[in-house]
Amino acid sequence: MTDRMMEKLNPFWKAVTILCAGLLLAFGYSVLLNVLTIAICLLLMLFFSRAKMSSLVKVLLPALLAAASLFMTGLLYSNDAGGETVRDFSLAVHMVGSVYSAVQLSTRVLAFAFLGMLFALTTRSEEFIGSLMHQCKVKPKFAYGILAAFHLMPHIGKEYQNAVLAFRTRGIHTGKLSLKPVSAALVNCIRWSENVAMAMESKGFDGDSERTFYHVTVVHWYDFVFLGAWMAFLVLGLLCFPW
Amino acid sequence: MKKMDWKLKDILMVGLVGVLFSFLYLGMVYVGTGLTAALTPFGLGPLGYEPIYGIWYMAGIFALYVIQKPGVGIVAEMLASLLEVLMGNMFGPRVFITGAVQGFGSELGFAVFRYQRYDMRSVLLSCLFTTIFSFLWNIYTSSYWALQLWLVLLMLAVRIVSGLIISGVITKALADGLAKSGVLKGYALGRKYNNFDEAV
Amino acid sequence: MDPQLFLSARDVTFRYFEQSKRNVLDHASLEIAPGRVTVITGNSGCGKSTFAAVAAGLYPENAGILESGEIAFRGRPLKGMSFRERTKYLSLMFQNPDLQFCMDTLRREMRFCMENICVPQPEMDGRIALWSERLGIDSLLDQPLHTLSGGEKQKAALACLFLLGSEGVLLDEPFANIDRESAREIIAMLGRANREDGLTVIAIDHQLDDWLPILDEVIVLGEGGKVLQRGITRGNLPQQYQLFVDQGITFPKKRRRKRPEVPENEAAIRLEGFSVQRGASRKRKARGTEPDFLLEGVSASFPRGQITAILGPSGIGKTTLFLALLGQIPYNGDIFLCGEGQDRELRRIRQKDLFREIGIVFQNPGNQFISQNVLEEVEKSIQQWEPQASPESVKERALAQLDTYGLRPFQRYSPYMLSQGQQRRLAVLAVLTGGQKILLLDEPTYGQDYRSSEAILEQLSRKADEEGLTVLLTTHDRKLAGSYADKIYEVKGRALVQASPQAILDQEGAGLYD
Repeated sequence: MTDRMMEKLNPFWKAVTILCAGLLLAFGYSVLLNVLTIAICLLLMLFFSRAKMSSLVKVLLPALLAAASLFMTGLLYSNDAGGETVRDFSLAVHMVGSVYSAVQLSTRVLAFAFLGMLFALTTRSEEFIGSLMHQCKVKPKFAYGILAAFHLMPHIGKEYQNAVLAFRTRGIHTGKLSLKPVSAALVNCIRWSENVAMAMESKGFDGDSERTFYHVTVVHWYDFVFLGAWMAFLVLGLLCFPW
Repeated sequence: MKKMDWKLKDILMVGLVGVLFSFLYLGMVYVGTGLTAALTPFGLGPLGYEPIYGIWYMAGIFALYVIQKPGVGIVAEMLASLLEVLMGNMFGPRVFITGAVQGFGSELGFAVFRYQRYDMRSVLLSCLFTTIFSFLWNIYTSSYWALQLWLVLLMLAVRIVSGLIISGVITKALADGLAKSGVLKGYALGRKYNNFDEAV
Repeated sequence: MDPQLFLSARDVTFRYFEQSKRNVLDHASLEIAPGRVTVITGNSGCGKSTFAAVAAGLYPENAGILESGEIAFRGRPLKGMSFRERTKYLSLMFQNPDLQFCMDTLRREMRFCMENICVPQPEMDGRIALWSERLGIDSLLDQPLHTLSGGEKQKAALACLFLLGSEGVLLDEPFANIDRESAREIIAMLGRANREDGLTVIAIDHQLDDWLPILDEVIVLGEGGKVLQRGITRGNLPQQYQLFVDQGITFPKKRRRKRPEVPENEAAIRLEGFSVQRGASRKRKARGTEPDFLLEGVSASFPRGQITAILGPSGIGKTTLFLALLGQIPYNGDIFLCGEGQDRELRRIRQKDLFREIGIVFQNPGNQFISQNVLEEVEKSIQQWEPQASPESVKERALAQLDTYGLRPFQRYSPYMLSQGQQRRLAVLAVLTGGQKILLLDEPTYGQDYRSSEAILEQLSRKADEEGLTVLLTTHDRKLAGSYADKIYEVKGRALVQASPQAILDQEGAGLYD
């Protein structure tokens, strides 16, 4: 699949945009603004990115649970839904207030999740790391170190499961809470950090000195349009729908 | 109290340990999800993930306790956040701020003792600060101010207990165990134990 | 220093920790001429791997203390050279194929290598195409590295070394964990680079067999990394036989059967129509995709009280088979545990009961240590099976066991402070003291020198003969399997094909000394 707008954006500036959008949104109390944010993210993901629907749904499930839980909490225990006052004459007013609170809390967490997904589902790991080096001046040592750790994930998982199994076959009970296999896995992590560092260095990796790059992430005018548009939308939104 | 000179292997160590701790979280996340689902009808859903929240703080406190240098906690938390983002965390880049806030809290616990004390007391203090800072950040992001005070305090209390036990007692026990087994000899914590033999 | 020498190391003294009582390298010196294939050998613990890391400047950067010593490449001191400059002279391949890469595919790893040495971007694709074609590894370029077999990973690592274009390459036990076939291919590639481009090849290896066709010189190191003998060539190798025996190093000679030829016993485990998929999750079956079978429709039997070896490259289902035998992954067909008059299908056995019958030693022994010191490790195992035994008798027996494995002097050590070889022996020992009647061993001799491998296999033989222990082991060491196994299966395609141990020995012995 060819890249669409969301993938063409510079990963670092995309991260900055989404981060700032989230921070701004957190100041708002407006359900409408939350819903609009969700809608925009959804549109961008559906029509301007190659994000897969299946991964969207997968990430959405825990977000929906979080939203549901905050909805119920808002309904029952928001400041507007005081336990005593509910029974008095202003019950109707309070009910309206607490329902609004509930909707506000739950749409808000969903809006954050959608913003997050807009980043996560449209950004490749390597490009993001590259962009951190080129646009954010992160040292290659940190960038490639973390990339290496990330790529060793399947290996760590496999060895951890082996450790759990090895203990069980030795008759050592390892419940979900047992620390023994974690300890064994930590030993691996510490040993491997040395091995992988040596492998990388023996291939000429210096960490912070000069290097060439196969792919350099660049910044275009549209990265700032994207940033500007989001900021403008949210600032206007915050001003127009303070409640 | 020298500042940390990060070598590639230190970065990898913190990164790999961060991956492992995030597996731990994934292994336990069903507990949080289950609790949340069960508590949601009673409006107590947001409490669900609080008992396992302490796992999020392990990376920073582990790194600080093992390497014992100022700034290590913040860097470790930032690296762990980067890993989270690469793994596709639902909240995307916001995790960086979460990491920075937590890292700052973790540092504070050891900074109080001028980075001279690395024992249960400083570890627990560090956990306490981490928990409080991370909770303050959540009050802002999840607008907990809209909720009744007792509920917010209850959430904070559960999180503090989780933080103290998981990121405090357990993290310290894990690190001490490693140090005793000799694999941490390259780090400050491991050098405290020099009374055992080694074979090559 | 002499610019004619490729590598010169003088008076190198190195130890891992400040408080260490012993220097791993003790005033060691070594010189290597350019354009030659040199194999460095010596027993476990002689410091040859440490020497490699120090020579490449990876130690003390990553661990340890360099007390004294000067290292130079072509007369230029190593000290002060950046890693990038060092790759002009030397690049390395390591023992563990899983820990050599920082990217997720070979293509990206190759780009990473070229970026390190500042290759201009427009040249990169061409160089990748050139080397992948020359080495015939086109098909590996875009596969996730963690899905490749050990042999494929080492070929990928070799491609990176060639790409870096160093004058010399140093390989540290590169074949410890890969199949013979791949090892030979890699050696042939190295031989060609040596002949055609004058590549200097330095290899550290326990086994010389596969190097014989291309090696110019063998150097034997002893205690403290000191040179015991050099100038050994194919011609005068037989005269060094006694030295190899004294040092406990494998001499490249034909092996003989170590086990009496006896008829096959009745089965302890039987497979019928057994199939297992690649990447089968330990919890549920992969859905949606076409089944990708590692083993398909396999029928086999593993005889009671005897040793069965399963041969084949890594990554093709040997370990997966073990996981299936422990009930950890889904499979099709049947696995029968035989005995007591009736055969029981594995799925009908409770896991806890299963683990009282089958034990396992994994490839990475560090995964299964449960205590803080060596003695306790064995004691706990005994106690696990005999909770009533008195502490004194447990200790006595544990010490006796440690003795037979040469681990008694280390009884107070932390298991993790043992050498890789000792760790593995301890892991085998700890599991052997359990009461399980069937034992699975995944590459039990990985990273062991001749003496340790023999010790482990001797112990297993005794256990099989005296106590009726059923042993199933995977290995890529075909000679070892030929010497010790009563029955051998080779993984070929998706099948288990039976092979005669003697035939394997004959096949492996070709071209070696008598």
